[in-house]
Amino acid sequence: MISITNLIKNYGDFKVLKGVNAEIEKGEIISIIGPSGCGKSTFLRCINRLETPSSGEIKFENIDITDKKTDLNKVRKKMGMVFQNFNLFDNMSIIENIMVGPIKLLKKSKEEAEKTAIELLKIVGLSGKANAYPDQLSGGQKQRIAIARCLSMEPDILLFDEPTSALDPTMVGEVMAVIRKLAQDGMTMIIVTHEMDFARDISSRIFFMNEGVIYEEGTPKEIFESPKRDKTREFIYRRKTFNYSIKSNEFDFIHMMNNLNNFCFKHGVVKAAANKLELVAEELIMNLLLPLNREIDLNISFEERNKGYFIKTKYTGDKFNPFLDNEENLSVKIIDNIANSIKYSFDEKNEIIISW
Amino acid sequence: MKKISKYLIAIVLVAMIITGCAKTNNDSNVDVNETKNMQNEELKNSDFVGKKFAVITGTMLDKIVEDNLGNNELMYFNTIQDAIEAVKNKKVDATINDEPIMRKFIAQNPELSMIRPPLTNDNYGLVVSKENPELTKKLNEFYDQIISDGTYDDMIARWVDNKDTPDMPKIELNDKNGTLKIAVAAVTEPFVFYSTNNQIVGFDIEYARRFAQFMEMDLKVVDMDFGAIIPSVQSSKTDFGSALITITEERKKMIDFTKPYYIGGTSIVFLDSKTSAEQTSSIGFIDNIKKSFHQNLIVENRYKMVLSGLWTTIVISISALIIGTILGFLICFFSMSKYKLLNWISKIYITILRGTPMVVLLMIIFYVVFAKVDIDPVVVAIIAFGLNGGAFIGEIIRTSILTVDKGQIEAARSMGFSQSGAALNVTLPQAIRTGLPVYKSEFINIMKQTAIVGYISIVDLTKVGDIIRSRTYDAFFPLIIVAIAYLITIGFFIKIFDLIYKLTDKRQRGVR
Repeated sequence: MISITNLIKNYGDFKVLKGVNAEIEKGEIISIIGPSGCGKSTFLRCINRLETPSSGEIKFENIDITDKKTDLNKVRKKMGMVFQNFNLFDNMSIIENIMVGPIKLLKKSKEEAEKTAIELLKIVGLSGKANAYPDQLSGGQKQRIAIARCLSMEPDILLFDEPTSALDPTMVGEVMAVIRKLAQDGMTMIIVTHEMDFARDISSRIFFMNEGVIYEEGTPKEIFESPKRDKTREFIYRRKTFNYSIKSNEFDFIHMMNNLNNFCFKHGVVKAAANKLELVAEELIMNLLLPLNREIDLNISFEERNKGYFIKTKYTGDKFNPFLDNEENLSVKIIDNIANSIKYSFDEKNEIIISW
Repeated sequence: MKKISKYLIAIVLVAMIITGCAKTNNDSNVDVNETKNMQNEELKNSDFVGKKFAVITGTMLDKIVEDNLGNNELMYFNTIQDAIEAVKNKKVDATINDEPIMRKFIAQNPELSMIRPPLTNDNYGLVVSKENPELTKKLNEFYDQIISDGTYDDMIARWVDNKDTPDMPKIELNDKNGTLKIAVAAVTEPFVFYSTNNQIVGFDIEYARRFAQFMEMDLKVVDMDFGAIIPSVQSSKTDFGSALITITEERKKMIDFTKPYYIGGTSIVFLDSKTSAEQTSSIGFIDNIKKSFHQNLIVENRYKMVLSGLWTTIVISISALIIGTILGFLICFFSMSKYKLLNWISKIYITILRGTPMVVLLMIIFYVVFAKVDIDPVVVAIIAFGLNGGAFIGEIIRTSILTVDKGQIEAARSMGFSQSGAALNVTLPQAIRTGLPVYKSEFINIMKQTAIVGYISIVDLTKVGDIIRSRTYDAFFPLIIVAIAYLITIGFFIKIFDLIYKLTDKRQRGVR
């Protein structure tokens, strides 16, 4: 239904989209996730040409919408868009908001449009608000009306641009319920969202966007349970990282431990887990690596989502694994006791990854 | 509406008190011993050295005062009536003007006195454009003819040496050789002034009509401020001008004069404490108001003049609003366009029009742009105010459009509305709601500003006030009447705009 090839969008020198490729079939529900500023919304807005792509091709039902000759207004009638800020027409009552499209654009009679509008209001559960005005509704209600307004145009696809981001947590549910209902009815949808559980639940496919491209895509299961690429994993598991560089034996140990402590506190690592992290770091650095008198890069991270802890060290010099044939060492014993896995490798530098 | 009427009553009361208190006795029927007033024996011209004088803008009077007295503080006024009023209110010590005119004023204001003999002797001439020496020649020929056949002496006897105002003699004209246009300032009795039936009459008018007859041409009289006469003749808006214009070397550089058609002088007029003391209010307060009302509105059907002036004001304001609105949309379109050139055009237009005083703009358009074009001054005023309004209304429209949430326009576009479809269905209905209150005040602004159109000889509401003042020598009542007329009219239009505003709010219309 939609085929996107090498889509590029620049704002001056700033490259937002650096070559996006995607194929979307009828009936699919695609969720686009990714860190802020990765170009999710820009990508979505390029699909209905609210943003003009710098280069690349977008085909919708075999019409090239990047072609200047294409009648955009005609294409847009087939693509509904739901905005973060609802964007209801303030000068119209709720029912007029839903009727204006069919009357003015689909040339339906007023009676027919009204009939459809009443039905749509029923679907989004707001029949009682037909004659109210947008400023009399809550955010959740507004967003449901915005969805009804899109549906009034009988679109082939719906684009959702962070539909719940501007909502009170208590109202997110009602909007998601309406989207779920549409999903059950087989509506093709592309949803830019930060609601991970919702995306996982509803989508047929997930696009993880990062640095202006679709970095990884797959079924919700693939993306959420076994992300293949590091950045995906970092995002999905909400990984937080602490880095420290040790140049010589006389480094400021207290300073390092204090920073680590602050890092744990800042990201809400529970006390017991933080103690373990600090203990392993201390044993590893002070007792096992420092006596070797080498430059050490320390990289400590934890994954908020699945409570995974990682301590990665790289150090210079000859190949040497302090854990090899050293089971009697007290520090090794302590680390062994806490960690689930200890991996040693050598590639120009020594590398130890301890995780649990 | 009840509220409005309450306010109006309050205003009228205040106005009456002001008029009543500022007692101006100007009953022309009061019998005055003319000789006594005119020949004040105690004061001489030299007594007025260093005194404060009221003079008329655009005349030589300031120079005369300075040359003959010296050390004087000067205040500038637009009409003789204003200057006389300033003397009566003791804003100045004296005023100075042409002796025959002053004579009439003193006849009607017994508290004023005139110094004898006149301060200077003057020659008055008609002004003709330097580009039209033929007309000057003809005027001189005509002068010689009426001197020799005695018509001139007869005219002087009837107009100048006559205590009463004579009727205009019938002088038949035809337009065989076209139409002559004469510029006058109809505030100088007995030479040129508004008669009882609101016709411009006087010595000069009879003179001009006789000349037109002599030329076998029709005559059109154009009334304007004194200061505007010479520019008007220079720019060929009118063919010649007359209003007791003193022949001076300075003026001769700009304009041609005919032979002097009247030899007079300038005399000092002041408030005579003796005579005025005798005249203190013997009439009751209410009677005073009644009399003012009668004299300023009822006599000679002057209220009809007020209404016609008001109509002119309304016509100019509304037409200017319409033109300004159309221009405003254009300017707004230009300034919001993506083409740099159009942005620049609108920017320059707005900067120039907003940075120029309305009076200056009006006069530039009348005397410079349309200098050689025969065009109704009302049309000029409409164009000038329309152009000016365009700049302001353009900005009003632009800011109103900018206040409409961009997201809503995006939403409309995403549904498949075209740019104009989105503008028509979403932007405009909301922009109108925000813009209308500012638009309303712009209209009020335009209407109030039109008070300056008298500068280009349009008889609008304000000018009517001036004309009535020039006839009744009463400054207060006509001004208050004019103020009230503006107030009521503007109040009426405010109501209309408020009604429109309500109509744009569907919720208040009870659609729910």
